[in-house]
Amino acid sequence: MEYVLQTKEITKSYKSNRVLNGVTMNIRRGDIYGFVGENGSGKTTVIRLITGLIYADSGEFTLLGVNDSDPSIRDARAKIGAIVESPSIYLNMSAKDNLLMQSGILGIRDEEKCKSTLMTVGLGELWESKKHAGDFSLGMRQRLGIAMALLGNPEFIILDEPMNGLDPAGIVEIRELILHLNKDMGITFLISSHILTELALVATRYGIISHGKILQEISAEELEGVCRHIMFIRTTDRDSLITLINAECKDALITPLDDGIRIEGEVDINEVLGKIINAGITITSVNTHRSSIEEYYLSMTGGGHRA
Amino acid sequence: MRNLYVTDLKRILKDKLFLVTCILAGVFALINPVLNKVLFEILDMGDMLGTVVNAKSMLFTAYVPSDNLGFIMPILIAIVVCKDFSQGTVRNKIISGKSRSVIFISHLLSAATVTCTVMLLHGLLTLGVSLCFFSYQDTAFTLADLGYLMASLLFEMIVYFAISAVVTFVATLAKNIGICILLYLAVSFGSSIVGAIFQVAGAFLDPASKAYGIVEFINALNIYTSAGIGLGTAYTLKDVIYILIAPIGLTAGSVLLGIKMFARKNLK
Repeated sequence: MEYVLQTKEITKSYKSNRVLNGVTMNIRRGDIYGFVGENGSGKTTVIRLITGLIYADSGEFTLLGVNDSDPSIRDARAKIGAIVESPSIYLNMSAKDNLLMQSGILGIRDEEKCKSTLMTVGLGELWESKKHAGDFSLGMRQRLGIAMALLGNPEFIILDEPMNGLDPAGIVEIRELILHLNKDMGITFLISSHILTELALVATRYGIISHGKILQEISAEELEGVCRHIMFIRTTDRDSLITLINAECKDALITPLDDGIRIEGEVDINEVLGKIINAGITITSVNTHRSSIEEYYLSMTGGGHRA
Repeated sequence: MRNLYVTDLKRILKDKLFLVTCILAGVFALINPVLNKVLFEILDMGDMLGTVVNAKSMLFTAYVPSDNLGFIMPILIAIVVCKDFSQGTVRNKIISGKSRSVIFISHLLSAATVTCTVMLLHGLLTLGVSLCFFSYQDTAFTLADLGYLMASLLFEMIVYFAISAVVTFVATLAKNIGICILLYLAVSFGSSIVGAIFQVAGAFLDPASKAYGIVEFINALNIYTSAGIGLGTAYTLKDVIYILIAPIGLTAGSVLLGIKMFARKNLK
């Protein structure tokens, strides 16, 4: 398994406030890694560390195969793109000038490349525009930031809360862009977000962080498995239904309701309903529900914080 | 390094504050000689023109770091350098793998290039406008005067390079435009006041005394009093040492301290 990023027991304190408490995480090449955690859990601090904006107190990380103590870590960083908190753009310049500035920093100076990158993020019409980035919408700024991150042909892109402040159309645009870049260009992503349901639409793997520590790393498939099925069955004969379900679904968690029951766990809905009908119990309604990533996150962190 | 320097230079040149600086440079170059001419005419002191005030004195007054453009220019450049931190665009450089020392040097060189070029052009424009009203000096202009003028301009540029180094250091330290301006004002005003005190003290001392020598040396260390540049007709070795010791020391100190501080600084 090839990893683009591996961190090991990283700690970081600001004065007496310990922000990271031994962060160990692994991001595989090709993943869209959803980085989930409550406010102040340490997500942005981890991102700042990886991008070289701050330094760890202890621990280490390997970025694209290079250890952070190796001087060539800067060469590894040249192969990543990142937006930390908000896009780092020149507000008094046009989209074109912003990209030309970034290409200058990277030593590319290729106007065609800048133009095609702007088109990749869906801002091609701004190439000739003199409009300053300060007058762009939040979504446009976010996309311009991603374009600047893309200029160096990165293998790995880090986006810190990319959906923050975006309207629904903007969220869809960014989501589609991320999926396109991941699938068609093979770019690995680390995305931190508060909007967990939105993250669930793109992430292939998750890292759950709380109080400066990674609680769990889990693939989207594994998460799908552990997010519990919940079924509500309403009936006119609740007691008979309880007796039947207790006998038939021994692994499920059964909770009596006023007019029926709540079944939590992996059960075959068709099989259960068949047995109920065969027993002659009248069903008035059936509802199924799968617990969300948010509910799973809350169960992992003890529900004390909202991501 | 070259890529970063060119990018930083473009960033400064594209900033509206640069345009403001250029306009101010033109306005000050025009207004100061005209005001002096008008003032001397009103006060009926026209016969003193050429001796008390001449094009040479106007030129070197334009370079006093505590007056006019010499005072405003570093503040405007400090704001532009500081914007790289306050807008977060310095992150692009770090994430792109540039070393912090290279980023600092690039900030310094770009700030110094703009500062020195604008100040040089401002001085030459002031000289040009002044020559329309006054003679260059009260004696004939010789080849030796040309050499002295060139050397003086070079020394002024060295002083403004040092001021750019201070500005870059302050901007890196503050990272915030408001704090940056306050810090620079504190440095600038503080140095000017200290310089004035020592200049007054020097006036009461016997030039042959040891105390005078000490005061003279301390004055030379203060670039904000711009001591000794353009005031005479030739430079002795002692003059050159006294003129260069402060800017070179300040530049070295600002660069070394700036790089050291920036190297371990946590950035947002």
